[in-house]
Amino acid sequence: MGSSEIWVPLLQGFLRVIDLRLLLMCFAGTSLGTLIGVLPGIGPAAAIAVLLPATYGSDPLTALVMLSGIYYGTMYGGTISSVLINVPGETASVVTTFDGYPMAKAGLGGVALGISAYGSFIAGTMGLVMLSLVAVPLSRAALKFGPPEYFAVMVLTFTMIVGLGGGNLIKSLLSLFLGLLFAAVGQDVVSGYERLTFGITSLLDGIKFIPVVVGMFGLSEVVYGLIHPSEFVGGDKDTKLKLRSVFPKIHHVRESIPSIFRGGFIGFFVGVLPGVGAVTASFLSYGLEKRISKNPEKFGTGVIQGVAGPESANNGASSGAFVPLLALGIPGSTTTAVLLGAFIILGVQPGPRLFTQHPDVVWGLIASMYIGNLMLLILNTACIPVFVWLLKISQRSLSVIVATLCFVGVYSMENSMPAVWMMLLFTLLGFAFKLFSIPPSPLIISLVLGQSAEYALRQSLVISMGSPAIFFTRPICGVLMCASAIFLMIPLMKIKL
Amino acid sequence: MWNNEKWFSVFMFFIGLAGFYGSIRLPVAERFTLGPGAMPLIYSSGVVICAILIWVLAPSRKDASFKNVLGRPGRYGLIFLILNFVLGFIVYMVGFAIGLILFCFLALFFTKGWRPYRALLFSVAWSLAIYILFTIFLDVPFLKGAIFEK
Repeated sequence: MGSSEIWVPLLQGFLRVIDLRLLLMCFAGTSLGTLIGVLPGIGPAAAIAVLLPATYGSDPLTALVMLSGIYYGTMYGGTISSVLINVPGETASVVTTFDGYPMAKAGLGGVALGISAYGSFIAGTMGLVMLSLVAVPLSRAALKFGPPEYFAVMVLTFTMIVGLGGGNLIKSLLSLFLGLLFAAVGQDVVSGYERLTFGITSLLDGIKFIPVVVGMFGLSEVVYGLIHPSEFVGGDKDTKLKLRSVFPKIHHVRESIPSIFRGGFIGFFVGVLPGVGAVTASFLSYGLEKRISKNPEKFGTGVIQGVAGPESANNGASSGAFVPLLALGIPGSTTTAVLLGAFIILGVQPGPRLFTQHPDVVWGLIASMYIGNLMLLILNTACIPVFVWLLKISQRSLSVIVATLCFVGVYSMENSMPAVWMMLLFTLLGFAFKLFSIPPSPLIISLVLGQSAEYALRQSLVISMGSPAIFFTRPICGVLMCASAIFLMIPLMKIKL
Repeated sequence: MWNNEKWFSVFMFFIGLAGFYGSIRLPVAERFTLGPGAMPLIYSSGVVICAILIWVLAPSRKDASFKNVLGRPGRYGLIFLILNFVLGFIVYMVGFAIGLILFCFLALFFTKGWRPYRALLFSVAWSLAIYILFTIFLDVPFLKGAIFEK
């Protein structure tokens, strides 16, 4: 593959993004992402879904630059609350509390935040370089995919989300089947039959994913947060933050650099896999750092590698997650599922043809992510006091702010109330899922991919004149189906009845 | 022993049954391929089977007493949830602007313990900000409410 196919379009992407409006949108997205990462109570998936209507009317690149900025910005922001108040603003930053908070209590909060920001920047940029290199060849290979291969890729995604997502297998399967069932609501894509609408006309268009995401990840989180409030109310007096210490000393950098690179690589490759993502990447990185450390017993007491590795890994993972999204049109996590929906709503179909049909959008987006990473490095070193202040003042009104934004955001999607009622119903379901430890991600991803998977299956059967052997006689298909079976077997072997 | 998880599995079981009911009359096969009813039937079966397994495997432990659920945090969560549904109803009558002010005020007063005048000030300011952002900048036509449309 010549440089003209990657670096020249990337350079053109940079030229496209160096535009005041796009840079402002990138800054808005990354700042909002950092803020969402800092604040416990709303995650990136719900934030993107709520803000999606705000991008209507703008061109796809402008909207996607902002929405993607929210996604990778969250990974940076989660560190601040994890380190300073021991409350992860985002699930991918849970691991950071293990050593970040003890560091802050020892007066090294600035060092932990500084190393996290530099590590996140290095790992995020590494991930973007790998994304730039991998996405085009993968999308070219995917151009040879027919409906059977697509169906096999989607089955693999489903089994990986269920099999590798952790937690109870049966509950994950319930979530998956429920999402697929909800995806089947509305008019059948092939025959035009009405399915599962029960005479309700507003269900003819199917169940839209935005009310579902906002209900399950936005409002239900707020309600759950009110019932199970975090201990933080107005700041932790034990943690001391000296802003000067955000710029780490040379020995801190020397101690962290190998962990940052290891975390970056682990994060990227884990991020590419559907169903695992940033949370698993950060835990894997922490486990690796502890295993290869000369003093593993010190982990948990404030070891810098325990912060540098996982923080780099979750940023590497956020870059890696864009590979299947852009090249195959397959989301690997809830947030990328929402981003996939955003792409489609904005008139850009992710997948193998994205790089040929919308090169300006996709390369502009990738270029904006390089710039966004740089913006985040500055935001997460120089502006930490601003975010800490926002965290403190928002505690008393955050639930109301989030709820009203969810309500108005979902309404403005189609300017209709049925979507709002749908959101409220899914808030109840999301709350029940949280109470009974049922993972919501399989539901969201199967809701987004369900119709495409069914369509690909039915098309494949037509191609094979009704024979399901087509999924095992075509080489790529066969390999993907075997991989799916393996991923489903792993948790079955570990199941505790 | 029945507990909330078992009740939830029963609810899921009925969702699965509703899926069966909604797709049973649809053709399950077409020439060389599956019909529109096939996949919903498979998905419904999956939901029903998982619901049964969850019911069988649910730990037989007693849930927290009703008194605990209605303790202060639980009560706040419940009030907040109810207020969201109330907002859903009142916007039809009083529209978004007043509805949002009422919702913010009640939520801040009852679940966050704000003083009434501060809660009212914040509610008006925040609702106004949302109203301006969405109706003026994003051109979203908010419901005016039955009372104000006359």
